[in-house]
Amino acid sequence: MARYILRRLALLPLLLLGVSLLLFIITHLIPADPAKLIAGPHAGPEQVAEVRRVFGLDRPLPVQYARFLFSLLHGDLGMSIRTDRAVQADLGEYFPATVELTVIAMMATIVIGVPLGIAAAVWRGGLFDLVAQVVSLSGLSFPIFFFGLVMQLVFSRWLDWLPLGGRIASDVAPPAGPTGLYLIDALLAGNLAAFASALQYLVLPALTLTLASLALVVRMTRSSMLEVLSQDYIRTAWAKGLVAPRVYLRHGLRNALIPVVTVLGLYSGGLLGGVFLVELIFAWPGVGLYSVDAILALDYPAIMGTALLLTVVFISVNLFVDVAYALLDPRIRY
Amino acid sequence: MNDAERAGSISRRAFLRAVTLGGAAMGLSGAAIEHLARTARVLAAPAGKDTLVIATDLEVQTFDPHIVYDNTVRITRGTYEGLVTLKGSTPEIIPRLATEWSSTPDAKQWTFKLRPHVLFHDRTPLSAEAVKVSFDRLIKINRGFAWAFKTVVASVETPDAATVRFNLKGSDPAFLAKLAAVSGGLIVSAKAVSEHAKGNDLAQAWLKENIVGTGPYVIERWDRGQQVILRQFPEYWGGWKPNQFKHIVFKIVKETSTQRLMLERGDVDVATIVAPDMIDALEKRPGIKIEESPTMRIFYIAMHSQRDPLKDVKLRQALSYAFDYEGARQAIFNGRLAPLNGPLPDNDPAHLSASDKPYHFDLKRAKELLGQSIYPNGGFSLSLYLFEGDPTFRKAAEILQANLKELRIDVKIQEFASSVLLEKAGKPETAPDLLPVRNYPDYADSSSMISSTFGKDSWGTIGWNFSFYANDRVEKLLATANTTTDQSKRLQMFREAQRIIVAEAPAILIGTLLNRIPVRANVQGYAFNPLLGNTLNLYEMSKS
Repeated sequence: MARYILRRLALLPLLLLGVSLLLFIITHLIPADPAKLIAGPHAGPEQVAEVRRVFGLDRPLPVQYARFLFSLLHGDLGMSIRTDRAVQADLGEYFPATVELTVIAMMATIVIGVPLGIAAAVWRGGLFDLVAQVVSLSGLSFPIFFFGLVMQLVFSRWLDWLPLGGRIASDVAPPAGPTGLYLIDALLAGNLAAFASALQYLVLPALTLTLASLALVVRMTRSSMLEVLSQDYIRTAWAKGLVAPRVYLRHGLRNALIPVVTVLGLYSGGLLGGVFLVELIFAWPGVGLYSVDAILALDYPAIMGTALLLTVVFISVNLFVDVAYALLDPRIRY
Repeated sequence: MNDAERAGSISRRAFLRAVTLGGAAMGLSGAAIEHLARTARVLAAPAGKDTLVIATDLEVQTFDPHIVYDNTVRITRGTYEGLVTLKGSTPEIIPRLATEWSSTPDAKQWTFKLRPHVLFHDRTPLSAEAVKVSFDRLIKINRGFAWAFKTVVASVETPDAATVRFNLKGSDPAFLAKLAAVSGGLIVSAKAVSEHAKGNDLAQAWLKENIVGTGPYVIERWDRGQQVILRQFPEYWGGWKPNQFKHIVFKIVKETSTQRLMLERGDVDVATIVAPDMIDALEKRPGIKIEESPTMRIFYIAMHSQRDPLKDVKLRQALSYAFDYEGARQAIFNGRLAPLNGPLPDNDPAHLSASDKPYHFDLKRAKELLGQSIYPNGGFSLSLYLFEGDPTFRKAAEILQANLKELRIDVKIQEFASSVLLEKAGKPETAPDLLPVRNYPDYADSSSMISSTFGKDSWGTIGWNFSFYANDRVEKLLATANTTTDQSKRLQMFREAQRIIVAEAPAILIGTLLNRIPVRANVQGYAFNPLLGNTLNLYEMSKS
C-alpha cells in the first residue's frame, strides 16, 4: 500500500508538468495582450512596453515557461499580473473559502445522499424511492445556477431566513485564525457571533452545491445497494437470522460503497467546477471568483496557479479514494 | 420471509429517527441551533441609518490614487480629493482642495491657492508640497490617468506653503478640467509617501492597501473579494452633520440577479449593476426608487472608415439612415435614452442641435445613398463584434442587422471576451467593420470626447477611436482649440469639428445614456458624477 501511494505521489510532478505546459500553451494562444489591459485605455506603446517588461511578458514564450517552472520548483507561483501580489498569497486568501464550501457540501451530500440511496433501495418503489427519484431527476435536469436562484428566492427573498450572498456579515469581523476556514477559526477563537454569521452565510451556497451533487450519489447508492441486496451472501445473512440493520449496513452497504466512493472521488472534480457558478451567484469569495477574474484579465500566473492547485486537489482526492477502496474491501490489494 | 417482511423489520420511522439522531450527533443540539439562528438573524438585519451599503461588481486591485483608473474610483473618490471637482451632475468646475485659481492669458501657467485647515488622514496638514509630491509621483509612476499630465506638466512649483503653481509645456485651456477628472489628480500625504517608500517604489506597495488622503472617509477594512468598509474621518475639513453616513460598505456582488434581490430585501441600499430591463421591474417595487441622471456617456456604433467597404462615405451615410433610432430607444432602453446629435452629449456646452444631425430612420434615403456608393445594390457583408454578455450591445446589433437586410447588406455578428475583442478592435487590420461602443469623456472638456472618439492619435485602444477615423480639418480645429484660451472661440471650433464628423458619418450616433441606478427609497442626496456612472457623492448622501 505504502509503495502504491509513493508511486502515485511520484507521478504527481509529471502530471503537474503536463498540466502546466498544456495550460501555458492554451492561455498564450488567446489572441489578447494582458499588458494592454493592465496599462488601460490611452496607454501609449511606451507604457504598454513598460508593463510587459515589469511582468516579463516581453521575453520569448519558452523563456517565460522556463522561468515559471524554475520559480515553481522553488515553491513560487509568480506574481499575479492583475493583483500585483504573489499568486500564493492570493490563493491563500481565496482557497480556504472554496475548501470550506466544498467540504461542507460534500459532507452534506454524503450524509443525505447515502441514507436516501439506501432507503430508496430497501423500500424500492416506496416513498423514499420516489423522493430519491425526484431528487435525482431534478439534480440532473436543472443547471446549478437555477438551484442557486431558487434557493435565494425561497430562503432569502420570501422566507427571509438566510442572507443572499457573501461569506460573513459586514459588521462582523472575519475570524482570524490558522485555517482560513471561518467556521473552524471562529470556534477556535470562541467567537460565537462570527461562527453564527459564517454558518448562516454558508448554508445556501452549500445547499445549492449539495442539491446539484446529490443526484449522482443517491442514484449510485440505490443501484449499487439493489445489486448487492440480490446477492447470495445477503440471502445467507437473512438465513442466518441476522437483524435488518446488520444485513443492510454491514453486509449490504459496505459492499455497495465501492462504486459510491468512486463516484464521490470523481465528482469532487465536478464539485470544484460547479463551485465557480455557486461562488458567482452567492458572492462567495473563493478561487472560483478569483480565477474568473484572472481569466478575464488574462492573468497568466494566476490562471496557472489556480489550475495547478486544483489539479493537486483532484489528484489527492482520487488517491484518497484509491486508499479508501482497500479499507472498504480487504480483497483489494495494491 | 419475503422482501417486504424483511424490509418491515426496520421501519421507516426508525430509519428517520436514526437519520435525525445522526444529524444531531453532528455537533449541535436543537437549542444551540435555535440560538445560532437568532444571533444570525440579528446580524443579518438591514444596515442602520448611519451606514450606506453599496453592492458593486468591482474587485479592488489597488487603492493607489495615482494608479487607479477603473471603477475603484467609486471608492477612492470618497477618500481622496483633488484641487477642483465637478458641481453635482454638471460639468461645471468648482473648488475642492483649492479655494481659488488663476492662469496666465496663454494658459501655460496655473496657480492655485490651497484651502486652509485641511488635514490628511495621518493628521498632517495639506500643503503645496503634498500637491507637488502627488503630481510628481503620478507622472513618475506613469500609469492610469498620468497620460493627461505627463506630456503637459513641465514642473510644479511651491511659492509658499499654501500656493502651488503648475508650469505647462504649452497652453492647455483644458488643464482645469483634467484636474477635475474622477482619477489622476488626487492629493496624497507627502509624509506617507516618504515614510513608506521602499527603494524607488514611491510607496506603491504601501498605498496599494492603505489610504492617506484628505477625503471624508478613511478605510476601516478591506476583506479581499468580499467588501471594503469606509468610516468617517472625524477631522474632515468639511465637518459632519448628524445625518451623514458613519460607515460606507462596498459589498462585492458580481451577479446582477443577486444584487437585485439584495436591494429588494434591504440588504443593500444601492445596486450598481442591474440590467435596464431589471431596473424597469424594480421601479414598481415598494421601497425602491430609481435615481435617473443625465450622463456624458455616448452610445454609438463605430464604422471602420479606413477599410473597404465602409471607407466609402456614401455607404456610411446610408447606414446612418438605415438605423431605427426610435425603435432602438424603445426596445433597448424603454425610452430612457437622451439624444445625441454629434460626438458630444447635450450636457456639453459645445453640443450640436437636432438640426445639425440629418440622420433619422429613412430606408428610402438610405437606398438612395447606397445607390451612389461603390456597392449600389448592396450584396456584401459586414463584420460586427460584440463584447460578450452585454444585452444592450446585442440588441443594437440585431436592430442594425435587421435594418440592413433591407439594403441587402448582411451583418455577421460575433461575440468575444472583452480582452480578445479589445485586442482585435485595437488594430485597423483586425478590427471589425462595425463595433457598438459606449464612451465617457476622461474629463469635462469638449476636446476630450471628440479627440478620444474621432481623433487621429486615438485609433483603437490608444484612445477609443474604433472608427479609425481621421480628418485633417478636424485635427487642425482640435489642435487650435487646445491652445486657444477664449472659451467661446473654442466652442465654435468644437462645433465645426463635430459638423464635419457628422457629415462624414464615422459612427451611427444612437444616443446619450441616462444613468439609472436603483436605490432604497430612503436614500437621499444622490448626485450623479457625469464622468463615471455610479460614482456616488458619499459625503452628501443620507438616509431618512
